[in-house]
Amino acid sequence: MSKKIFVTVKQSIFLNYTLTGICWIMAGVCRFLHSPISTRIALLFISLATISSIILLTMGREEKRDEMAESHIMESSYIGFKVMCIATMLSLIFTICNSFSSAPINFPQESLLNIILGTGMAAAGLAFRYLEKDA
Amino acid sequence: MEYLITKIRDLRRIHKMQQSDLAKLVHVRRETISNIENGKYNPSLKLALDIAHVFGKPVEDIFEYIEEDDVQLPDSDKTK
Repeated sequence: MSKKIFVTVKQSIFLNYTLTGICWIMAGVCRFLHSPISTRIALLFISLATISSIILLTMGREEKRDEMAESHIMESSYIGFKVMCIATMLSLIFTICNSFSSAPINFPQESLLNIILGTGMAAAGLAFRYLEKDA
Repeated sequence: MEYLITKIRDLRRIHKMQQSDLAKLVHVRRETISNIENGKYNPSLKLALDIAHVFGKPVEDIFEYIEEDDVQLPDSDKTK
C-alpha cells in the first residue's frame, strides 16, 4: 500500500485553489496571445494544475478541517465568487468594446473563461491565506 | 460594540500547556486556538464549552463580552 502524503488545510487550499487558479490564469493569458508557442505553454500550465490536483486526490491525506477552517473556507469562497463576478463583468466589457473597435483583437473567446475561473479560484485561495495569517 | 476577551493564554500557562496540546484535547487545529487567544476568531458554543471543560472552569470564567465604551482593550485582545 502506498504511503499517503500528509497535507495541512493551508497546503491543501493552496494546491486546490491558489496554484490551480494561477495556472488557469496563465493558461488563459497564453491562449489569449494565440501563438503556437504560447499554446504549448498554456498546455504546460493546465498539465501542472491537473497533475497537482490528481496527486492531492490520490496520494494526499488532508488534515481534518475544524470549525475555523470551515468558516474561513466559506468566507473565502464567497470572496472568490465575488471576484469571479467582477472578472466576468470586466471580460464582457472588454469583449463588447473589442467588437465595437475599429481594429478588433482576434483571440479565442474561451481563453477568457480560463482567466475568469482562474481569477475566482486564486482569489478564494488568497483570501483563505489572508484569513488564516498570523495564526 | 461588544468584544470577546478570553483567559485561555493565562490558563494554558498555569496548566503548562502548549497551544498544540489544548488543540489536540478539543479536536481543533493549533491555528484555531491561536486565533481565539488573539481575539481573531469567535468560537462556537461547543468549542467554548470544550475549552472550559479542559480547564475545569465555567465558560463565563474564560470568555467574557465587554462593551467597547466600558474598557480600552489592546487590538490583539478584541473580537467583534
